Amino acid sequence: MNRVLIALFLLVGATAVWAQGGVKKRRPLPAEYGRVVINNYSQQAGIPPVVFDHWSHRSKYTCRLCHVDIGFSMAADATKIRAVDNISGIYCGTCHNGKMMMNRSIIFPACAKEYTREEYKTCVRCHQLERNISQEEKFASFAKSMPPEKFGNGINWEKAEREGHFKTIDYIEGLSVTRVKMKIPTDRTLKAKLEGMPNVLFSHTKHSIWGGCELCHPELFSIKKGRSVYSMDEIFEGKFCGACHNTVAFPLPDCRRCHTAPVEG
Amino acid sequence: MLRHGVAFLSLLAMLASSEIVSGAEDWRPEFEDVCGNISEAAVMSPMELQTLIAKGERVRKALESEREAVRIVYQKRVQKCLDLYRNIVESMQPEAMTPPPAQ
Repeated sequence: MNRVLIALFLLVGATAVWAQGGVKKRRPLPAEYGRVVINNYSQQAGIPPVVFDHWSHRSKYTCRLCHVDIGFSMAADATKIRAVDNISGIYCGTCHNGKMMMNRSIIFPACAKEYTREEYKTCVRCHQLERNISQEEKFASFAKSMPPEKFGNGINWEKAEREGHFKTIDYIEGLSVTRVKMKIPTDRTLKAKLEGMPNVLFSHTKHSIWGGCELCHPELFSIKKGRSVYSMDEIFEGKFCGACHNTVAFPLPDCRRCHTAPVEG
Repeated sequence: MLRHGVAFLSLLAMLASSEIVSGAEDWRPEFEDVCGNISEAAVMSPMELQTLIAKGERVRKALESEREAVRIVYQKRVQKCLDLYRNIVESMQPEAMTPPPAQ
């Protein structure tokens, strides 16, 4: 009888675990954090999907430049990039056109509709079928000179930017709009709901360097006071702060990066 | 006669192509005006913001005639600017009074 009860208990337990999603998600390696696999049309065209690592572009361009000016969606696979768009100078083709320069060298062009065996070597720089060891080596060499961090890419991007390890571009001639210098709103304290949890010190200065205004307002956060009410659960679901802080920017388990205000009392 | 005909047709073709060229990206200056004010939007008056919103709507309509990818990218861009301006205008308005409960 006991054996039957134990077996029943184990069966119910296993079913419950399976129903909740079962296996724990593997934490990405530093080189993989912020990786997006884009496969809207690639496989239909007989070419591997694009494996895009955010870290490789993050030290060169602001988030705003790519996600506002160039028009890449914030959700993976939502942009529906076609080779024909890249060839005509849209999306990846804005920079990957074989003409634009970066650090005194020409940025490699996006794939053409037809390519030779030699040109295919350029295609597979983005369209990757297998593990890309050279990209991993590039990451290791890049990360070595950056201020370290425990989570995400293992790089403290904010500190790296502040200390001048790199300078991001926020303007492309003929694409971006000339703007007057931004009047940055003051930083804000966001009250933590959990007792004993330090409040969040939100810095508009830090965020506006990467995102400008329109990347976050009003799509993620309404400017109207009291309109954007959210919980940590929603953030973990990828809403509000979670739109970036669990995908590309430092991840949510790094609590102390946001909850920094001294605890009262 | 034939020579005149060819000349006339060439002139027509030239006029047509020049119109296409001059018509290309006619929306661009207005687009730059609309989205170039983003960083100042927070200190603008509701009237100024409404003017930008009206301009932005004109840009959105003008973009309809662009090829698909350009239309998608720029309509999204202008929409982001308009959404921000509308949100700022909304944030300037006082909260609507909640009506007293019915007796």
